[in-house]
Amino acid sequence: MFIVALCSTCGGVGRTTVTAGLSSALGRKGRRVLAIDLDPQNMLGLHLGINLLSDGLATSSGDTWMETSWRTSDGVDFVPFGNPSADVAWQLEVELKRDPGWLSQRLSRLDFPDEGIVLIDSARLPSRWGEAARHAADLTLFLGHPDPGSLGGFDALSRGSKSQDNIAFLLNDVDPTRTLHRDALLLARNRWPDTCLQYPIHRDEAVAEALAHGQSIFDYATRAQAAHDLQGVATWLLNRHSMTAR
Amino acid sequence: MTLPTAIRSALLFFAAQLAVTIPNSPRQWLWRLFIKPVCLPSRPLNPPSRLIARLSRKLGVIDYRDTSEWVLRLLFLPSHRAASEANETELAPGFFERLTQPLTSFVTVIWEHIGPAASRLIPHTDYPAFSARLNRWAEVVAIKHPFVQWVLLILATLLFTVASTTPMNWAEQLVFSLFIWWLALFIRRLPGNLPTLMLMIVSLLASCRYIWWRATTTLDLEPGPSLFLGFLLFAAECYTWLVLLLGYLQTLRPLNRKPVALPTGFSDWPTVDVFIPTYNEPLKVIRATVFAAQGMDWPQEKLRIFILDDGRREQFREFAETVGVGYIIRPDNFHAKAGNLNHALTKTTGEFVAIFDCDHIPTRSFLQVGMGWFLKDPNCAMLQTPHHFFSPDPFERNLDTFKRVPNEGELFYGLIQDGNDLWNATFFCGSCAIIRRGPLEEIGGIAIETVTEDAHTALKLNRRGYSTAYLNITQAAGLATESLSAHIGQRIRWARGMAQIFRLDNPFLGKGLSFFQRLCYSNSMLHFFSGIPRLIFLTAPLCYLWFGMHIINTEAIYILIYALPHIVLSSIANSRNQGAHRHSFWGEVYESVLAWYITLPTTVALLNPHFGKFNVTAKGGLVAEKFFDWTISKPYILLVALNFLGIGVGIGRLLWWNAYEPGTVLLNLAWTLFNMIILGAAISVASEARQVRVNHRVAIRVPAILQLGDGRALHVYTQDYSLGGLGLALPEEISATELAKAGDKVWVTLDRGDQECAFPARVVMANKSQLGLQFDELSIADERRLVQCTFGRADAWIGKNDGRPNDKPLEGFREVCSLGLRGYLRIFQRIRQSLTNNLHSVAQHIVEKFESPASPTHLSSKVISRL
Ligand SMILES: Nc1ncnc2c1ncn2[C@@H]1O[C@H](COP(=O)(O)OP(=O)(O)O)[C@@H](O)[C@H]1O
Ligand SMILES: [Mg+2]
Repeated sequence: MFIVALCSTCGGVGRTTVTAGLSSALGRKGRRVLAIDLDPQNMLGLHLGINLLSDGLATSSGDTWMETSWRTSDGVDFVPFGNPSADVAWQLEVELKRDPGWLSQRLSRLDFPDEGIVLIDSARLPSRWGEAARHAADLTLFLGHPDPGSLGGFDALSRGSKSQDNIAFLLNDVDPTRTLHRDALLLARNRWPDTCLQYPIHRDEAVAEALAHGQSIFDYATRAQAAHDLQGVATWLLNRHSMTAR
Repeated sequence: MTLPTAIRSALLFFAAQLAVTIPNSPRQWLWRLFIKPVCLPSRPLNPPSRLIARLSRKLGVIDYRDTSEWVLRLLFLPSHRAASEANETELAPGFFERLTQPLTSFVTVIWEHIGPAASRLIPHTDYPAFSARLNRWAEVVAIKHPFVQWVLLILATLLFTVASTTPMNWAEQLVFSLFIWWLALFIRRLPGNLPTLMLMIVSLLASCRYIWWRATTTLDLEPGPSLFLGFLLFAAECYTWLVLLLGYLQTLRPLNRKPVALPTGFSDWPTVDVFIPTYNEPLKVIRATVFAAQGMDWPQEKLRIFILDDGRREQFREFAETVGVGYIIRPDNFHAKAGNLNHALTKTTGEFVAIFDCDHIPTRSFLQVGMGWFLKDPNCAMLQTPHHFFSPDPFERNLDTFKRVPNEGELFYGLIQDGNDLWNATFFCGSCAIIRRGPLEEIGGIAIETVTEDAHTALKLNRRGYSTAYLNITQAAGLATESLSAHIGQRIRWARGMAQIFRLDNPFLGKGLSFFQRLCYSNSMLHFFSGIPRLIFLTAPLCYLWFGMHIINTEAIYILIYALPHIVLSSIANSRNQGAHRHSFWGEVYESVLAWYITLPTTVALLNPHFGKFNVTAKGGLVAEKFFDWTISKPYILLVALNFLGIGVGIGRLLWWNAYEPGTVLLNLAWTLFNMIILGAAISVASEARQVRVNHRVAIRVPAILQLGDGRALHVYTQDYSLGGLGLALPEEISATELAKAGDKVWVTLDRGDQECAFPARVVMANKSQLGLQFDELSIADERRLVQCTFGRADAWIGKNDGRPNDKPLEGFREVCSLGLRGYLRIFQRIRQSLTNNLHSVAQHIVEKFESPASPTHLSSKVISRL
């Protein structure tokens, strides 16, 4: 089981979008994929084409959480965050503060094949949810926009992490027609040649259009640049997985 | 007086047919009859019937009214453009096959019966294993038993000498020839280097036998002209024999040098000056070269780029200043390019100079790929890389062989330079090379004594004991010469320069060279003296056909059984040795086109090497109209006429005057026919095809991002690119017309490897799955990025020859034959066309004179002058 958390230090950089896209891509490649929504916004379901989900990780106790899972047409097992009452959510946060390994333990009790991949969409850092996801993950994929804010975040992260082996940076929403974006990409590639993925995900209206149509981007616009980029990241993840497995 | 009604109505009928609207006007009658027949303008409006339209599309017939084109396409020359489109047309299956069946079935029958029968005679074994075993034996003998090796070598030499000098009667020679032919066919199936060598030896055996036999038994000629002409022919044959021998030696074992990695620390990397000499080329041509040079991967503080402008143009100075490169001029233009480079040497200090003709665009990896050898071998003074052309040269364009048949230069850059490299005799070719400054200054800079300063410079370096290297990795590319005349002009310069070096600094004389270096240089020079021998071969059979002279004193059957093995085996060996870089029989075509033109310059340069001056090849021009270069083909048309008459006379000889020696007549006729074919091919080169694009498009498939106005981004691939625009291949399921229409503004992004670069463009063509884009006005920075993302890519020219068919000797012969026929069809077309034009203008004059009061004498004199 290879657990990947998608985090970011800024909001709205595409964590949910990329989690949904990657899990579809991996599911289509025939991999066992478990997508977990660990963001109180509870939006991953929408991106995976399943709407209005009140039961999920936050609403179930003990090991019953897997019973709230769904299977998408791409073969992705998906556990929503759920729609807990404010009290329940608050209690969960307290629990997470006491035990950051809360999610890890739940995952470790799961019967999931070794070559399977778990993708966790979490809330932006700093947050309990984000920390819990990082704690559980073999690899944390930090998403950012090609702007100074995100690059600053990357910089702090790479300085703050003891090992660079379990983090990776990925730029999303890159528009090559913009000088700022091009320069940010160039800078990120050169500054973190090993940590930063060499290929970003490009800005593509097809992403939002696919969401609006309730379709996976791979169905909605096969040849979209964003679809191509997501495929690339999925392949990269698989390579990374087989490398850590060895 | 009125005409009888019958005549009247007949006249009216004809008037209607001819569209004469006023039957009373003689002018209109004449006009319609001679100048503008009414059917002519209406013909193009007549749509061809569906069948004809489909057929012509399938066969690649462009003008369906042109009978000769139909003949051509049906029988001889399937259009390659048509072949690629063929699967799109929904012609009834088998129709085309049925049409051409008589011809193809004949060929197939021959192949199906003779081919297998012949190959059954050749022993079947596991050829690769056999070849590996041979190799092992050779190695074992060479390493473990050097003494045995020498004994074997001496024995083999003896055997070879005996075998090539023993006189035989015709039956013995026939059996012998069949035997070595059979041997060659067997060896040909063995892969590897050693069998190639064996093939060369077998071929040499046949050729040596031939030359020896010619020298000893056929030169006993009648005194007088036939003695003279006979010896002339023999000398020409000796020349080809020598060139064949030297050619084998030169390409015995191509070195195929691989690049050497540079040290990881930049501090050991040397400083490099990049020289871009220019004289009269437009700025447009040089821009890309400068931008690409700026993009070369080399520490910026160690790389300096200079434009050496012999035209001293203000516009160039401004450009150099804007883009931030050096600009060097000199007060005079002495010694042309060599002088220009030498002057720049005095103004710069880099440890190395890299030289690019202003239209050779380097890739970013050029220096990193090439410089390693200089650091590894401190004695290395010059490293040359191939010249590659991304536009078709006149041969390729006019014969429609681009990317199918290796061009004229490829043999040299693909094989000969690599062969030279083994003997440390690589020569400098003026561009796409790196030279170490120290040795260059030691020999007094670039050589100025001849018009081929490049080869001479390398010769001087080699004489000083420096080594020169060749790296067969295309790291730069440029435009080929645009027109045939320019192409010939360039070759004339090379030929003259080589002849000059031969006279002034003969590689066989003087000191400092090894024996093989002398051989390599001499052969490269000798190659340019092929003019006279080629002209001799093209006319030799006429001596007999026209004048009945016997210039080879023997019977036809002997010539056949001695000459054929020589020709056939050398074709087999050459096809094996150089087939990847020169298809069989194409050498004859290339050589024949040049023969006439290089004869005089080489002869003059041999006699007086100081005569004449340097000429620059014009680049970046455009052949705007399809035309036939009469001036260039005149000598060949003359030769054709002579040969044609020769064939006529020959038939007479066969039937009446020389009926007692039909063999001799037939042999000479066959030879003439072969010459006619080669001449026809040479002529068809002179028919210049039209060029439409100003910026040459290079076919290349790299990923690109297409961003549309609505924010969508598509992952696509390029189809071709130029500095003006880009062709995109869209995935099948996307229709270009739905995506965008002409005039739409889009962005297209290419990856330079380390950086993404986006370029604003406008859609100019949307069709099925293709999108043609034209870049907007690009800023200097964008233009630089564009060059670096396209022509300057490290992988731009890798796999440039992929998908090219392999050489097959018979296929090469067939292709040359069909080109020859095409040449004649073209002449025929032109003659017909100019005849009709002339007739029309004559008629027009008559009409004008009828209506004007000019005197009749004046009229006829004008008509006659027109005729
Ligand atoms: N590559 C992209 N191109 C265009 N729009 C994108 C891209 N990635 C994300 N978006 C849009 O950005 C918005 C925020 O994405 P979301 O995944 O919800 O971010 P997060 O989960 O980080 O808050 C969404 O509207 C999404 O459609
Ligand atoms: Mg989200």
